Amino acid sequence: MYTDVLIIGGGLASLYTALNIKSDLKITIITKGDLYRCNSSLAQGGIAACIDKEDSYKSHIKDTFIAGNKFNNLQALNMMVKTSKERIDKLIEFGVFFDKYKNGKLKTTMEGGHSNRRILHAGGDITGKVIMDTLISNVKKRSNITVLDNTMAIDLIKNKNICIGAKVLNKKVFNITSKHTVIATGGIGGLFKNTTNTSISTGDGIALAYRAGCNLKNMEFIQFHPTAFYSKEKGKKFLISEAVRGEGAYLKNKFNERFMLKYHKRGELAPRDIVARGIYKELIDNDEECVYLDATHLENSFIKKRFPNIYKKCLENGFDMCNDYIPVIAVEHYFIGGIETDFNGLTNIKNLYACGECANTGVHGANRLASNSLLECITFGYNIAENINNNPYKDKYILDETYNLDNWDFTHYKKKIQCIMDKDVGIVRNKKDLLKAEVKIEDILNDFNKHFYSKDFF
Amino acid sequence: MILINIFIVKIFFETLNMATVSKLIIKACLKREESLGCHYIEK
Repeated sequence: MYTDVLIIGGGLASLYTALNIKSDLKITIITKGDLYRCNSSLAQGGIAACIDKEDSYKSHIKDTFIAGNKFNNLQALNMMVKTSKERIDKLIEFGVFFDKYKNGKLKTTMEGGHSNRRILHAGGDITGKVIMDTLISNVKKRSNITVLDNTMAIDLIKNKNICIGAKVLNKKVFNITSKHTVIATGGIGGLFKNTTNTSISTGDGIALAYRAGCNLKNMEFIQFHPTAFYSKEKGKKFLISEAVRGEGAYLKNKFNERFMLKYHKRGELAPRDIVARGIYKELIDNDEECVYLDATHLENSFIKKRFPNIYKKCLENGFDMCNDYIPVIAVEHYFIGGIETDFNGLTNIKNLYACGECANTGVHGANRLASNSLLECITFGYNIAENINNNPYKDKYILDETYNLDNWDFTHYKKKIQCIMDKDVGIVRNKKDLLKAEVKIEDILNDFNKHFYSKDFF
Repeated sequence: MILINIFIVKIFFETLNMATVSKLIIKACLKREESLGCHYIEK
């Protein structure tokens, strides 16, 4: 199978890139599940952009730089912030309806680490879903875009240092050759027992890129979201948006104390890493299983209108946000490291791009500021599209081999990896545990090599 | 070769990818010995 542009992944980075590519290019999007099942759809709080007269680029850059521990790529960050209004305008052009006041002005909210109200939101607290639903309907209208659901890329195909497509798996294994390939496979939440990600976020794009020889960067930076709803059930935890704290909710321990003021002058609105570690410390010190989010002092009608989705989900789990404290813990949320790219989303392999959570553009530094992730997707998605539009690539490779595979059973390894990562590579790490974890993971990889990977199934 | 259960094959690649990325994360964590941002090392 041949396509001009192959996009691996089906979240915001993928769709925004596809929709900005010229309509005379044939685009194929492959997704492991379907377009409705991605982390972008789960984004609640919103998307940060400097659109208000009272806000400034300087302030957004400064906030991102502080949250990122001054480890950010300032050039990339400058570019992202300064083009944010144009990228948002494009989303509006695609039909995304952000929440507005009666006078038509876009509503903005506050979140941790931001010094101004610059977070746009949609549907109250379902911003990601509103954006994704709108872009999916745009994609469906575009005859040059084909979406292959339940299709997973298993390796990239290279000719010297040029990427010419990928081996993919659906009902069989086959090659898709392409002039340009974009990896937009999202995060790594599946590596952990507790995560806010969809279960299909298993770091596939990063592993593909690594096997193909891509440079990876800042792999140690994993963000843990401070407030995921706590339940004894393991697995995916639903998120209680940072915007709830942004609108005034408090974090309290079992003694009913607002503990975050002990750790940071911004209290509940300190950067996420500080809040996550504050919660971790409270749990250890007080031998607690969770801490509590208290929004009971906020107006009931405001809570229901501003956070309809969170309110409903809490209620389904037996907690009324208007009257009850919500049990929360910090869980894996966002991968900051990833495939190293330049401003155009290009990797060190020719014609191979990476975008979104799987990429490391440098904008987030060592810790991502809330609501900058969707902005990064559309900023670099647009740049990738422009680069593809302006760089027609003439060679066309056709590889029409197809493959079938044998059946093996190795399902127990997934849980093993999740246990290791949760226990030894979590919010607080130490060298001894990391070394132990390294040995355990090497053992698993050796098993793969010994038993399966050396088999010639490609 | 006959395709028996494609679901199992998918899990194979997912698990391999998970192990690969875990290894790379741990190596990066070990390399950065000082705490920075959301990488926090207890001494």
